[in-house]
Amino acid sequence: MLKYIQKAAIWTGLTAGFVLSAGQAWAAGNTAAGAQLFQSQCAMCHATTPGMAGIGPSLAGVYGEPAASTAGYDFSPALKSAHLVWNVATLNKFLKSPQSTVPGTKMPYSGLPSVGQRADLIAYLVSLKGK
Amino acid sequence: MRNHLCLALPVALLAVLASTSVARSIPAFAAQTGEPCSACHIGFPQLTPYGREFKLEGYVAGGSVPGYKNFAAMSQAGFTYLHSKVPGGLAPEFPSNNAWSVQQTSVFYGGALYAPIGLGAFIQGTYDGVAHQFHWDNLDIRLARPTELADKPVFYGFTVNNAPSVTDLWNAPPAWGYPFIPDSLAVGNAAEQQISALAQSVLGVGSYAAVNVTLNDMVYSEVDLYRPLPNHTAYALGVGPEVSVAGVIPYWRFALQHSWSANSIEVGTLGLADNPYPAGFSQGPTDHLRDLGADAQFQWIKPNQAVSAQALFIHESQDWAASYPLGATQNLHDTLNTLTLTASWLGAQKFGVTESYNTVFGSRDKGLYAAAPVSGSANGSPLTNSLTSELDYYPWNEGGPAIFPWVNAKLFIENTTYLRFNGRARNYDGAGRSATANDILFTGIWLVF
Ligand code: HEC
Repeated sequence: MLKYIQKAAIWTGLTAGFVLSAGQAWAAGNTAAGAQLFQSQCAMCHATTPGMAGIGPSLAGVYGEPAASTAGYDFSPALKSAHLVWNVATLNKFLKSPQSTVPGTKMPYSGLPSVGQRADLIAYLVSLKGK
Repeated sequence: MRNHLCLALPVALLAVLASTSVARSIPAFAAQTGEPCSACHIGFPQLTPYGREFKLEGYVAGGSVPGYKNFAAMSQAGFTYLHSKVPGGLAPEFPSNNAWSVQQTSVFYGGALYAPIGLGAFIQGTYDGVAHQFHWDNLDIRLARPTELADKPVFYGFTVNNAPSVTDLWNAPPAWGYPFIPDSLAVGNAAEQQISALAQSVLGVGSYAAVNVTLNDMVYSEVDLYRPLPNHTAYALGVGPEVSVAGVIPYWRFALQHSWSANSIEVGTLGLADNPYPAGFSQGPTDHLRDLGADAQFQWIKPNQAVSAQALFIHESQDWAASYPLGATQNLHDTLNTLTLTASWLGAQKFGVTESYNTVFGSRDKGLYAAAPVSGSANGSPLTNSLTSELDYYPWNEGGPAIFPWVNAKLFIENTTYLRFNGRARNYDGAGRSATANDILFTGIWLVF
């Protein structure tokens, strides 16, 4: 029994450590670098002004919101039924490979492979919130 | 088999024309994605970076399973004027000049077959109003999967298709290249390369991969293996008689794409090899034809205007190992080359201008290009040079008329001038016809709904 508790504790610790370090990595995300990446990789499809839809929805307040909840944009059935909330973990996964995270999403973007760049971009998306 | 172009049409039209939510709700890809056609197309049938990604990812984006929205129809009607009439008619049952025609009427399916696994399709059937028959047109069914290679995003996939280069993402290769509006009542020049001639007469399987080596650089490669359709199948699909080719026909494609801000540039190469039987044979010794090409494309796309340019050069080497001993060709070896340069501008999603220069040149061979009034060559040369200008207007960019709001249209005027035709500027056919006699004005409308 004790063994199991020990094991569980170690696992919990590991997980917590992992989450923490992940959190630190994200905390290290550079908003300015993220803004630049956004310009080159996302701006052709996404505006950062609320309510301005382009090919994709405005990403002005997307952080922290449920996926496909921006009013006035015609989201894909796939994203609507994905039941995601946009936080660090979900954005990290989605931006790495949109089509494998949400098959049938109509965001045909092949993905952002670098974890550091995803961190920067997410930091930038966070910074748009409440602007 | 030039009708294949119309496949792109509905999608392209959609792209350019659709704008209101109603307008975009019928034509298939636009309906599936909820995007205006202009998201994926600049003019017809050119793909934007988004359009390329959509095709690469298997036509599934925004879709799930087939629905009525995935079906669409298209029709092209127009008026053809030639500089000099063609005695006997522009085509059977057509006048010798000044002909009205409904050249193509197509139905097509476009979009996801089963999105969760990346299975999607582009399938077109066309009624040819000049030949008066129905035939299968462009077909591309694909399964696309995302993965990673050395930490780089990769899309790879498999395709079943019926024309070399119908799978292509860029608009220089033949299937989706210029001329964007072929007139099937035009006087056709004598020479055609295999890569174009095989369209819809073959069925093939292929695989492709696109690796994003950096955020702005993509490497694309594709290999397809085709087999000619058996004769009865070719007739059943409206493309008979069969093309008589031995064994499998490999086709390959390799391209690099670099993008920055509103620009993208592509350079690539493509090739095909086949071993056709001499005319009238379906077994025994074969000839050997090899097509090797290079292409490039540039695009600059802004919301209110876009500029693009394409270049394509294809060299065909012809080894007439079987035809020459039969006396069907004059030489044992010939070459046939084509060069096409195209530039277009699209303004305000309403006005389009395209200019193109096309040249066909190669060995003289009186067996291949025999003298005959209008269609033949007096000196056995395939040399044909032409300049084409196309003006387009999209009247219903903000949605169709109230009674028929989902209709989209493109009005076009296209003029082609021949500097040389089948070898010469004057008396090219030996019967006194000059190249400019084939100059052609084609004007009409494309409707899609
Ligand atoms: C080629 C156009 C295109 C590009 C480039 C693009 N997106 Fe998208 N994006 C879309 C579309 C279209 C959707 C809607 C997806 C759906 O409905 O399935 C979308 C959806 C999203 C969503 C979900 C929005 C919501 O409200 O749920 C996020 C987050 C997002 N994109 C972020 C990004 C980021 C960050 C980038 C740059 C790395 C990017 N996108 C690049 C077209 C694009």
